[in-house]
Amino acid sequence: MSPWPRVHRVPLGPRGRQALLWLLVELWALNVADLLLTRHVIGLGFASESNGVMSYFLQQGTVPAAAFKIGVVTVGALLLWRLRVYRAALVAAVLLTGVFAAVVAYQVFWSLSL
Amino acid sequence: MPEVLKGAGGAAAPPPAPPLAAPPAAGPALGAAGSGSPSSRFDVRALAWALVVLALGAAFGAGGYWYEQSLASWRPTVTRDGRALQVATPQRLPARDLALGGDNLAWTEGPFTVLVDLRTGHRKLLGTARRAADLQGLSASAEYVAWSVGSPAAAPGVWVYSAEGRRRQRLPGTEGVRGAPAVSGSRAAWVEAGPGAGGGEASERLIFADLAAGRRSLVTSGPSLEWPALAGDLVAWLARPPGRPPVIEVRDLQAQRAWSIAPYAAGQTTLLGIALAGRTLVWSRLLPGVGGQVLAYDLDTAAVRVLASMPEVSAPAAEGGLAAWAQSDGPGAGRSSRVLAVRLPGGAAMAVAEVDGRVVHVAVSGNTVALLVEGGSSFSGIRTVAVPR
Repeated sequence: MSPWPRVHRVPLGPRGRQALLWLLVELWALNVADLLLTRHVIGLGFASESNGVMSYFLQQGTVPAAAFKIGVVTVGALLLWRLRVYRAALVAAVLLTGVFAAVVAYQVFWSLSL
Repeated sequence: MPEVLKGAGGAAAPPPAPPLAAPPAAGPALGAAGSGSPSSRFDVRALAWALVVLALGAAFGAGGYWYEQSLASWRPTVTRDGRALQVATPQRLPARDLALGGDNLAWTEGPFTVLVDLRTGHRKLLGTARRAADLQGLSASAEYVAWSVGSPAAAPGVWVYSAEGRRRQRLPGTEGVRGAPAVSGSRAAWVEAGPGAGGGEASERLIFADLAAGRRSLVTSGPSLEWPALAGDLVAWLARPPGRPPVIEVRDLQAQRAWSIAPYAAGQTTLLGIALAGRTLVWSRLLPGVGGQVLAYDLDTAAVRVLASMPEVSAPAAEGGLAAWAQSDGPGAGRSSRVLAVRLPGGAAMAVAEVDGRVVHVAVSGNTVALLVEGGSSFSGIRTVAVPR
């Protein structure tokens, strides 16, 4: 008996894979929107980046910050796509996309109020 | 079960029917095992499902935003009556300072600096200090709002909000600011602590800044400088030289002319405030046994004029050629105040408003006067009034 709990492979059907693909596309677009909105409100002087890593890259400039942020999420999305045979990949994509959508919607309303 | 007929001369039996495939009424479930290879067919339900996740997340974020806004304690109630505006700040956050420039009506309430656009009534939180006492004052023009934060624990310095760019910034190197800044157009002035001339003993320095161009220059330094005021190329301030009565200094930065005006004879007089209305210096003072006075000094003709003499007067406000102040008959004469305005240099004083309560602050811009009323039985807060033409 293995001492480690086993992750059971619960495969996704074709529709699940397509949904995963769309969610990853949405996640990628939301990540770009998050970057642009963050850059916008920081530029307006009404916010500061509280994430230390992103704060460092934003201080280096928009291009390094964009490369880092988009790069991380792109790699993450590709990883989830590689794991598309697992239902857990779909669950993770749902959670990530939902949270990102909430963050971006909040930022949109907030930046419109500035 | 019927038998299959077999016979040499008989017709061949039909082949068994293939099993009926159940039509995919709802298609395969998201988690159902597929054929093993990803389907290349576009599935509109998969897209719809992903969009639902997006919409739910966005709705959650929007709900969070509105919930957070509903909890915000700084929000004033703005009511409009034609061109006039009434602003009631939250009960626990009475307004203190007041500034008006173009359509920008700004004030401080508690630790908050708040702006309302007179055209739209749109409210905006410009800044939050740690405590109300951290905020030292504010000033506004049609282009900029500037306010100063004095506490080292609350991002001290001169903060500037550009109405056109909707951009806020803390001006670098202004941590030593003392008192309220002054703004006129795209220019600002403030007093900050700093070394004296030639790096001598510590003193206060009056800084003039072109906010649009990002340039700064030192106007003067001295042991005690207060109340900077701006109008075009003119900058005025109050200097309190040690052992001597205070003097209002005015300098024309373009023409390099300077004036020194004694606001009162030595004694127990209290100076309430100074303002520049075009090329006229206006100040108000409180004389013991006499009451309050508002005076005007024409910089070109050196003529002094008493604009008002009442038991109580407020600090004056001015912009362009218009000056305004509040006056009352004193504490024993009820709680009503009158606000008057005059077009300088030669106009007559005209009543702008009579309010129930005490007007503690007046601000002027264009043909609008803003009043901060305290202790009114019907209304306490900020009101704007149009000046008769």
